[in-house]
Amino acid sequence: MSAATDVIDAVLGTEAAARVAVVRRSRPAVVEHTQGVHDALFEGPAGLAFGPRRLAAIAAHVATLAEATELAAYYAGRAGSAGNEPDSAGDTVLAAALRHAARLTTAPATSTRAHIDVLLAAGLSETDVVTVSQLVGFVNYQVRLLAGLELIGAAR
Amino acid sequence: MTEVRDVQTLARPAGFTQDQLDWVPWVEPIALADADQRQRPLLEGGRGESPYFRLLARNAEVLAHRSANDKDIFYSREGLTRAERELAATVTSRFNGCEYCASVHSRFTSQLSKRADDVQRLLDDGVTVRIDERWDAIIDFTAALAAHPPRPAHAELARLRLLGFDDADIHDLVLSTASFSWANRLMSSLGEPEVPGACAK
Repeated sequence: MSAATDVIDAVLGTEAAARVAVVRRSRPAVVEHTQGVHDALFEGPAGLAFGPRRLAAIAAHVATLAEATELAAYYAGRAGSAGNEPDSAGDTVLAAALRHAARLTTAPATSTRAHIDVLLAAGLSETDVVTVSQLVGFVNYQVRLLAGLELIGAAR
Repeated sequence: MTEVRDVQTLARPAGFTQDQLDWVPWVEPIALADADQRQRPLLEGGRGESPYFRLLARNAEVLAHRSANDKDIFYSREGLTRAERELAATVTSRFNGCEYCASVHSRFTSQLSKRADDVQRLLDDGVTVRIDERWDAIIDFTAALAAHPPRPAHAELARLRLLGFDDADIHDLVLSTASFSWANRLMSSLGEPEVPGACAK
């Protein structure tokens, strides 16, 4: 895999990525599958059906809420928006998914069955709900992985 | 037949436990008999019985990479002990309030460390519990990283280094914490835990 296709390295930036290159590459399967999840979310059949730009807008919102500025900028770029502010522009599916993503990111223990029913009523399919939930979980994973790698690199 | 249903109040766990719990989905899983050629390999063995994995199989490509990633994070031979990786998973799950994940991974932590009483104190008191120098250092680093947003953990990292953790050990803690910052958000939003047998009454 080339460095250009690794989102974690790209978001860390060249210097920070270089400081943790050895420790990251000591777990090549994690490097491979962390990128693999990203690609499967955006390029897999379920992600394509839901809409990659919608997914990118949700990911940008999650990263912004988690104060992961560079990660938010990466996803905002994919979403085709200039800033990091979520803009659902009359898309009721995206609006419902953005609200769900915010709650799941900031207060995961407050989820209820009624929140799922809101997503289904807004027009998400059951597979869409799984894809959006995986995306929100994955971006929260990326946020901690990036924060941890920055810590390890900074202490060197 | 639908598997989605409400869990009766009396069948909900009465707090964080190391006992075995069931998990009831809020979104319909696929039936094992309906699994296609991409989904079938992901549902071999016990996973075919699990409503959680049959639900995640709706997006087979993501599940395939997620499962392979988790397998390396928790089972790779080199690096931090499995007990301490599971401890970080338990701390993250307790912090995020995911009763189901906390039950599974506290059980693993107890089995691997033989310290079930210490693990139960973590479940009862939460991440401010004090146990011993090494576990406290792991708990504090993990809780800082699991927080929303993650808290800068320079002091917590320095404590781990003083105790002899190297970059690879700390990387393993980061991966375990990151993995459960993801898993907790799936399990607590796509369904809920249930005490086995309690619903049949």
